[in-house]
Amino acid sequence: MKKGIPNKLKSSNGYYYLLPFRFERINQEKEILINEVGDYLICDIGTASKIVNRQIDVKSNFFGELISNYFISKEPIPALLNLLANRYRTKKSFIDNFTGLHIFVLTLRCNHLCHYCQVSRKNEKNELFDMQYENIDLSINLMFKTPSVAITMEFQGGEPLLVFNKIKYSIERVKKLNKIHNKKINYVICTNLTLVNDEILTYCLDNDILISTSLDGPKNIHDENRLRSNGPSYESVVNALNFAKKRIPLDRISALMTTTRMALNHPKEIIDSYIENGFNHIFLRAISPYGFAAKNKNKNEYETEKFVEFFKIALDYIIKLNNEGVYFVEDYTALILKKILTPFPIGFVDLQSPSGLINGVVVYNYDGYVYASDEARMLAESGDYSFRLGKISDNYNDLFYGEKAKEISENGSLEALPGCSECAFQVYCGADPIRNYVSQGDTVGYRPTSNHCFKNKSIISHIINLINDGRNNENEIFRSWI
Amino acid sequence: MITYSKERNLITCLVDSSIYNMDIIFKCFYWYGKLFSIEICKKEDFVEILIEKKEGIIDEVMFNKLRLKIKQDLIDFKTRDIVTKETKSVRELIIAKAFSNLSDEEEDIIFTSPVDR
Amino acid sequence: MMVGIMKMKYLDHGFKIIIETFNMIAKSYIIGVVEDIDLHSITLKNKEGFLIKIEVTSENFVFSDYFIRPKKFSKLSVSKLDIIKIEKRGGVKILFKHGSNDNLLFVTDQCNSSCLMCSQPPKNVDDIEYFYKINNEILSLIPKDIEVIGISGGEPTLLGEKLNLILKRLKLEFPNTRVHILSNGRKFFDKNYVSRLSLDINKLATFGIPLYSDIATIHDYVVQAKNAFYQTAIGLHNAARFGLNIEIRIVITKLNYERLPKLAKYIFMNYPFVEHVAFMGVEYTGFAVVNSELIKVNPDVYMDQLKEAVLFLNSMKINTSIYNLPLCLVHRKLWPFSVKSISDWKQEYSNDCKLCEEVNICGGFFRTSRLKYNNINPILEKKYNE
Repeated sequence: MKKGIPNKLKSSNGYYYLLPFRFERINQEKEILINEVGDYLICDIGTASKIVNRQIDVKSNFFGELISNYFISKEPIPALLNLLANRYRTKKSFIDNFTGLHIFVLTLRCNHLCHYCQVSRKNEKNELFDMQYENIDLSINLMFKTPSVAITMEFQGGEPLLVFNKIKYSIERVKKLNKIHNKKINYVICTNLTLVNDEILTYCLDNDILISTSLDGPKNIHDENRLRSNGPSYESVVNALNFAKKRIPLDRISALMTTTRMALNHPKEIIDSYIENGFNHIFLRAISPYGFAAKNKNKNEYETEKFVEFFKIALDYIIKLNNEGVYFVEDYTALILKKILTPFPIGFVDLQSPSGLINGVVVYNYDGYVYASDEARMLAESGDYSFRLGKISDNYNDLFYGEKAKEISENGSLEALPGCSECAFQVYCGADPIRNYVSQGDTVGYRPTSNHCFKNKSIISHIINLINDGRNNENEIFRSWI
Repeated sequence: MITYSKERNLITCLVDSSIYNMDIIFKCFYWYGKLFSIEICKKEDFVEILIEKKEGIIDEVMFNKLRLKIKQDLIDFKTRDIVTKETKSVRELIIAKAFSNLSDEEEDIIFTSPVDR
Repeated sequence: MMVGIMKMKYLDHGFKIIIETFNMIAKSYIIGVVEDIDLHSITLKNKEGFLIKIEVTSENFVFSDYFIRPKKFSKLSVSKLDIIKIEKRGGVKILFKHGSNDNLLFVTDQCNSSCLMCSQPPKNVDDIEYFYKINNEILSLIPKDIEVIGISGGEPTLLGEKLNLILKRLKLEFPNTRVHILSNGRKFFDKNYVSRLSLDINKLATFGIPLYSDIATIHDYVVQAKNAFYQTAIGLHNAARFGLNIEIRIVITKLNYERLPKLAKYIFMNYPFVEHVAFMGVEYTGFAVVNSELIKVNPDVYMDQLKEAVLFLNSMKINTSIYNLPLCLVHRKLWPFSVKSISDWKQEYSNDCKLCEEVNICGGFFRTSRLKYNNINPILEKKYNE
């Protein structure tokens, strides 16, 4: 070889091996190929078949791209197997952390009468529906047993501020015990805000507690959905919100909305009301098939197609706002985008496989029992105790690794579920055995009629089409969300 | 071969089992279960699939659409089946490697987002 | 204190150092810190603390930055507190520039790659011992509180154990110095090697590792080594596993510019642990001149791809910079990423640049570059909002 003059390097023979990947058509011309760790390539329809039938030109750049992105390999055991394994471990690293979200239902009492309430509320004054101090102590002990270094302690209800003294008691106890355990603990209170006062807000500020409230949109929609025992609640929520905003930074307050049948026709108004109230993000949530939501069918039942339509219109509107210079995020899209566009895992229990039940979230309920998830305790309110792990006083291993836990986790991996195992969007989706159980009668579920499947498939595929099209700066905007 | 009997409101598919194995056929017709009731019968060197509409009738237009869709789906599911089977062992290897216990001085590499750092 | 006096005399082929007194006769060079300097003499202090005065005997010659040169070519850039090496045959080399952030330990001319645009082509010479000695002398002479020091070659990992010794010495004697090592990272393929290296290295050290394409065959072709891509790719993960800090360096050529956005995405998905990504213009010297047909591409041709790649990495919160490109050839959106990266002694501006309003924040060109950009366009009015 003459010095500095390039040598053509010999390339190996044309045969190549397949690596695990899945594919799906996303429109009339394109299909998406997605590998085991979520890397995607959007190609012309028929590309997957060409790859499988060994019709890819080994001299082409596309061939090199398929190798670098772990779709094929020149060797039976890929040269970059270690990288792929590291990527896979990263994507699944939420498992290592085990239970990160610990929900404490300190009371089931509530001062609201929302028609879609996912838990059956009880009279405001009946203290039988509060958690006993002894059980709070035991729950905290269980929480500290989790191997997870970072944990979130979330207070739900009912309306947890009805028992603010118990919240304070819990947090003070956790703070003391954490001097030994040294975990990173985030606190969240899910409240309708109507009971906030100076004392509560100061306490939240001092302890860096995140306040999560419910706002269903503008007055007419919110009031239709969320009634107080003494009348509509919109004014009181907005007043409380303004009161709170003066005392704690806005990024420590977030709001959740629930899409009811009425909301379906008002995506823009709902988003505008969030902006008016100072929020820069919204989580467009479909209604859950639990609790009162399941009973009040005329107000709550709608076809998932309608929700998907609503979602798409809302997302378009949000993208338009971003293009006009208003930074505003749709949270569910942002979660899915993080799965599509980054190598990192997300901590959101609904979009995980193995499912987030128990290994992502656990509920300590006012009734003295531990449940596999928020949905599990809602189910219990209607008399179905299928996902009750045991008593708060039981031992940690029996609760978290016991027979019940095993039974629940059995159908919690998309990799092994019919309809999911070869679905291209598997890596971007999540398993939800309890939802399967509630809506379809068993934890395996049946994908062809599953609303959950339809919703996620439609939304993921819509997002991918927006990424592929990108004519309205979607890619730039999406990257700013993650 | 896909045929349609108007009288019986039934589509019959005959699939060559030397090309399409039972896994492919099950996975493919699984997705038709929302609107149709499916019956799969294994014959000697082919598989017969009976597709009956749960509600309403199958008209000519629907039949023509279905015929194209079934053909396409069979090819897609065959492609998926090849990937699944050819990559079974390498997939197990990736997972084993990802979750194997390493010796003490080595730490598993898990990326963290620059935002969280 | 002993003072050795050396005198130099002009011969046909250069200069010769004549050692008149002192015991330096056995050595082919002298290394020391400049204590005093004028056009015709330099006083050095060596690592033993001896003062050595070197004089130029002829009035027609002066000290310049490389060699003792005829007056008309010279520009005396050696200054007090610099560390210089004076060779017997008359060469003067600045080994360490006082106050500069661009000092480096040059460890070998050997390399296991042979990049098509290499500005410093590798030599197959047994020079490791030679440079190792020099570098140890430098380390004895430089202030212990220097902010940053580079290690470069050739390929430093070819030093084997000696690289570990240098790194250990830096870790021990210069605990607060940022060490920046330029390596192709291929050796990092060996996990045990990386594991040992990680024990010997200062926590502030960074490895600058090139990755020219997301496609293995393109990268291998550019570096002229088969399997280099795989070795570097696995090497990067090994480096991350053992906690080494990594910078990825991408020299932009005709061979790789089209895929810069894909490379950026590939880096983010597979090496998100890197602390910095640098996109670099070519220094047209060495192999880059020999292969200019193959590699040369004007910045305006690749500006769109560069823009997409840089803005992508930035939006993914990966630190990103552009090196070696004059500002007038860089899209304004990318100006915040442009760094004045060319070493001061290699830096140059063209005649047109005198008119330019932004010349102060511009890194200019390589004086050493043999092919110049043909579309330098002085910026005549400051614009910030484009």
